[in-house]
Formats: sequence, C-alpha cells, structure tokens
Amino acid sequence: MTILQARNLRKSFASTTALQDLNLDIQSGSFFGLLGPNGAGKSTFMSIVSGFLVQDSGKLTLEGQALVPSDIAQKKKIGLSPQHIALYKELSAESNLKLFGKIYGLSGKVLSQQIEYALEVAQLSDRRKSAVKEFSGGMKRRLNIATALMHKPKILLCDEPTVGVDPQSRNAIFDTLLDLKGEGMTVVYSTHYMEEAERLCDQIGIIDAGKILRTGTLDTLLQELPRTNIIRARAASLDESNQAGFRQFGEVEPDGSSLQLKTQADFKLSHFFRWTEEQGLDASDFQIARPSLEDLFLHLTGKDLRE
Amino acid sequence: MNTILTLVRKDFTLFLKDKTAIVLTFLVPFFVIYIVGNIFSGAGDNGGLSSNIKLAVYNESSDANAEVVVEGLEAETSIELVRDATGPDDTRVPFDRESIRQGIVDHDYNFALIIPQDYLKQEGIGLRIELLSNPKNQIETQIINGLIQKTIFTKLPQLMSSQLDKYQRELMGDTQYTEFLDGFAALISLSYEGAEYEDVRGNMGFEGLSKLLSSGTADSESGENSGGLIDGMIEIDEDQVFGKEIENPYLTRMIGGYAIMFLLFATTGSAASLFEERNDGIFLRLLSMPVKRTHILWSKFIFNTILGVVQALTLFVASSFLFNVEVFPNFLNLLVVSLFASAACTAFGMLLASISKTPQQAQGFGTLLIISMSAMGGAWFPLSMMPEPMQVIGKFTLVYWGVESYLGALWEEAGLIALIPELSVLAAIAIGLNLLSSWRFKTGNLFR
Repeated sequence: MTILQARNLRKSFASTTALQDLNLDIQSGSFFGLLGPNGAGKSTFMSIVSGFLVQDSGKLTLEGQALVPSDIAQKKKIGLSPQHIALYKELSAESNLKLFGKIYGLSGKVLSQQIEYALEVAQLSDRRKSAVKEFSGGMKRRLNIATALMHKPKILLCDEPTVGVDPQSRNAIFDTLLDLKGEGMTVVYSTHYMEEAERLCDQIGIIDAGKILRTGTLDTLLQELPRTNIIRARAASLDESNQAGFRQFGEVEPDGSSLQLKTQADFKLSHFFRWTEEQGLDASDFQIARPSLEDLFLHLTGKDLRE
Repeated sequence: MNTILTLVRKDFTLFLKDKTAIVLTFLVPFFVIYIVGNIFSGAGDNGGLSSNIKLAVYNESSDANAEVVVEGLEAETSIELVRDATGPDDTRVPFDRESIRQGIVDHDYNFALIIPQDYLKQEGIGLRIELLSNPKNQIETQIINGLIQKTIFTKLPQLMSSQLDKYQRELMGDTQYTEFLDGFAALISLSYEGAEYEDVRGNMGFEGLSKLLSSGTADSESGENSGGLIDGMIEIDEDQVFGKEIENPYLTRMIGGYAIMFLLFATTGSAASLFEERNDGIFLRLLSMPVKRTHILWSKFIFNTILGVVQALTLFVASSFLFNVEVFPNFLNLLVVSLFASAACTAFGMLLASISKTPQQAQGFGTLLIISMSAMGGAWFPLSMMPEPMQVIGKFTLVYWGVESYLGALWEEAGLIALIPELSVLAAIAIGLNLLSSWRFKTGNLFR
C-alpha cells in the first residue's frame, strides 16, 4: 500500500528549480532511501512533505488523501528529523522532548511515557538532564531523531541524519532506524552516501537536479547497468605477458596498485578462471567487484554521486 | 604579521560581499550628521534653535507700554506667539487667565506669559510678569526663559521710563524735581562749550535715560549688561503647571526617551534571534508539527513584548532607587505605557526581521532607524529645535509617541484616560507594523 505519493511536484526558488515534475511512490512500512548529491532536491522534497514549504504545482498524497500543510491530523502522522540539529541547545534533552511533545498535544502520563521511549531510542536516558550543547555530535543526532518520534508518527522523514557523525554513532542510528522499520514505521531516508542506501533501504529513489531518475530495490536498480563484471587484480601479481592476456577479457584501467578489468559482453567467468589456471596465477589475487549505486548514478547522470 | 594581514583581508572581502552592510556603513553616519547638523547648524543666530517654540501671551494690562513686550516677543523668530484660544465652533477668542492655563494642560503649548493688570510695581521700581510652564524639556525651558528675559531687558527702559519719573517726582516733589533738572542742565551748558541748554535739558530725566539705554541695548550682549544693571527690577512669578513636585526633574524628563531607545535596541536583538532559530532548523521542525507561522510570530511578539515591559520597568525601578525618580506613585500607568511602548517596539523588531535577509542586515537597518527615530522623535533633543519638516516627520515615529506617553505618565502624572491618545497611536503603530511584517514574512526569506 502506498503511504506517500508525489505527482509532478515542482518547486522553484527565484531562478533555481529545486524540484521539477518529481514523481514518487513510497510503500507503507518500507525503508525508502532518497539518494542524490547535494543540491539534488532531497531537502526540498522533505520540507514540502513536512509542511515547511509549499510546492508551486503538483500533488502530494498521504494515505490517499491530499496532503494539506494546515491539516493537523495529517501532520501528526509525520515525524521530521531535519538535517540541522533542530533542538534548543540550552535546554536539556528531557526539556526538549517535553516541549516538542507538548506541541503535539501530549500531556500527563502519555507525555512521560513518550519521553522515556525517546530517551531510550536516543540512548540518552542517563544524560536526560544534560543540556544539548554539552552533547557530542552523535548524541545530538540521535536526540534529533528521537524528538521526531515523540508522537509515534506513521512516517519518519530523516534528512541526512548521519552528517558529521562518528562511525559508532552512525551504526547506533542505523540500528535505531532499522528497529523502527521493524516496528512497522515507514522511514524516508535522504542521503548522498550510497553505502548507507545500500545497507539500509529496501526501496531506493535516485534523485538528481530535482527529478527522480529511477526507483526500485537495490537489485532491480543494479540490473539497469549494462551486464559487465568488474575484476580487480593485484598489479604486482601480473607480469607483462599476463597483463596482455588479462586484456583479452575486456578494457583494463590502472586503479592505484590494482588493475581494473571491465569485462566484454560475451565474458564467461569459467573461461577467465581457466586462463588463470593455465597461467599458474593465484585466484586469490583476483577480486570480482559487484556494481554499486555509485556506478549506477554515474551511468544515469554521467557524474559522480559526490560531485 | 602575515597571518594578521591575511585575516584582515578576509574581513574586508566578506564585508565587500555584503552590499547592504556597505550601504549602511555610509548611510548611518550620513543620517546622523544630517539630523544633528539640522539642529545645530543655525548656531550663532539663536544658539542653534532653528524653529519655533510656541508661547502663549495674555496681556491683561491696559498700559500701552506693556504691548512693547509683546511686540518684542513677536519679533523673535524663534518664538511662535499664540495670542488667542480656540472658542466654540472653532472661533478664535481672546485669552483669559483660565483659557491660557488650559492651553498648557491641553498641550497646545508648553509656555504662557501673562502681563498682569498691575505689571508695574506700585511700591518701588520694577515690573512683574507671570510665566506658566510645562517644562517637559530642559533645553526648551532654558531657551524660552532666556528669550523672554532678553526681550524684557531690551524693552525695559521704555517700559519703566514713566514709572521712574513718577517715582522721582513723588520722592522729591514735582516743583523740586523740575527745578533740579533745570538747574543741572544750566550748569552743564555753562561748563561745557557747545552744550546747548535746550539739548541738555531734553536728554535729562528718566525719559532721556530711557533713550540712552535703548540705544545701548540694541543687541543681546548689551541686553545682558543692562539686565545686570536692572536685574532686581524684574520679577517673574513662575507657575509650573506640571512637574512642580518632582524631585529629579532632569532625569524624569529624559528617562522616557532612553527607555524607548533601550526597548528598540533590545527588540532589534530579538529580531536577530529569529534568524538564529531559522538557521538552526527550529522553524523547519516546528512547522512540520501542528504549528503555523502565525503561532511562531505571535509567540515571539508576546514573549518580546513581555520581556520589554520587564526590562523597562526594571529601568524605572532602578532609577527610583538610585536617583529618586518618582516611579511608584505612577506605577500602574507606567506599566500600561511600557506595555504599549514595548508592543510597538517589538513590532518594529519583527518588521526588521521580515525585511532583512540576514541578522547582520537586521542589525544594520535597526541601528540606522533607531538612531534616526530617536533623534527626530525627541529622545535626544526637543522637537522644537528641528526644522519644521523634520518636526512633522518626527511625529510619525514611534519614539515620539513613546516619549510623549512616558512624559505623560511620569512628568505630568497623567491618568490612563488622559494618556489614551498617545497609547492609541502606539497601539496603532504596533498593529500596523505587525500587519506589515506578517505580509512580509509570507514572501520573505525567514520561512524558507
């Protein structure tokens, strides 16, 4: 079932077009990754869904109903963890949660319960009284996400939640989000790190210049790539005659201390390993690399994801 | 040294990229000198006073000489003389003692001169006049006192010639006095060659002295000398209509202007806080919640207005403890005035935030507008010291109405009903600026 749908969404700022005819379907309970470089339109999309911005044209629906920014019932179904640490830094973690919980209309026991839940999610129960300004980057990020969960939203929008976060905190955030997905929450996750999208998302939308280029699962997206394998060989393990033999299987490019082979269309892996055996080469010197989202992005746009 | 120069170059580069900052850098000093220059550039003519102070005059005396004083004041370019009151159906009616006083209470003018029926003293030599005043501003009060005294001193000989002659004739007897003058004139004409008896006799007596003094008091400096000569002859009965009992009149008059400036600078700072919250993504989070833009703006308005009231009252209470400004007898009025003034100042701060793209721009615009409004609105100098067009502009500033409200509450100890006009204007300013900023927030950068 589609929980969030965008049709021909357009948004411009002065002379800049942020979104142009963006179309998207996000399934309920999915972990949807919005993957694109900086300036692709990810945050603009998030801002429109959350009601901060209004689209110039196009339609957004939430559970089949047109999304209206002033509709409080709809807003209560959405939780936003903005790209910035949108917290009052002078206040404690608990005070921040209390404040934002009250804005959602929570009070009394329910509010207390939700504060406990959010502190647990943020792994900050023991630091509840500490001011946010005293927290590390990772702690702030976790609280930033937990604040968006105070009202138990159906859909959680996470706008680049791991920017500036250490690997340990990043893993903690991933675990939290995967747990939430496990509980049935829909997570929309914007990132420009393809590793994150590959690891977390069961649906991925590739966005560039305000347009969704492709959507699908990781496997279906990668099938879009031309059928090539990439084999990396340790350059030191191949003498000149071996390197000439290596080239018979496709296009070879140096890549640091390795040689990277992009195989031809009629390439057969069995033929390749027969050749290594004949040459007396050690099979462990060769590594078959799987095509990545980075390759797909390059294939679709002609540019790197991090450009 | 290279590091310092590199950092200095960086600051210049950043500065030159901010076009608004560049414009404001030159605009602020330009405006300040324009306003101050307009006030003081006339120095030399009348001490910098470049416009008119209203002075009501009621000549109760039937003596023709008394009109000389009125004529003298009328000739003063710095004074705008008011000779009559507004009667029924907007007709002009001559003053009487009651109506000239009522004019001060009604703020038609702050100074009124009454030349009483018996302005010439019956006992001894000299004259007596009455001056009603509402000395809301120290500078204005000093100026008007100086001008009245100068005019009277200049015209004194004419005023008192007949009185002095009369006094001498009474003292010596009519015959003896005439004989004394005749004899003295004859002696002079005999003693000095070329001194004709008729000429000498014509210049003798107090009428002659009057001619001599008049020629000697043609300019203001000589006027001061003659003033020293006959200082005790003038008696001015001063009747301060407002502020008579006030212990610290100077600070009581000034504190309102400074309170308004203080509120304006404080609210400009709070305008910058709106940008901080935007940049931190707080607005994005809030607006994704069941919160509307108007909720955010109203919450800011209410918070800053309350904070402004607390700060203004703290300032007044401190002035009471430290400098004996009488705050507590008027505390309720002061609270209400502070509420309206703070609301207007906060609305001004919100407008600044709505028209600015960055906090730096808000600070720049704020400094420019606050300095200009404070100078033109009467927080620093009385409005009467400015050229007529600037006086008109001054009345369109919230500083003017804030200062007037505080003066009403503190100096005149006016009740809330009497303050309704000033408070209404402040409320209108607050509403108008809020509407304007709400409209600007819809199209501006703050919620983007």
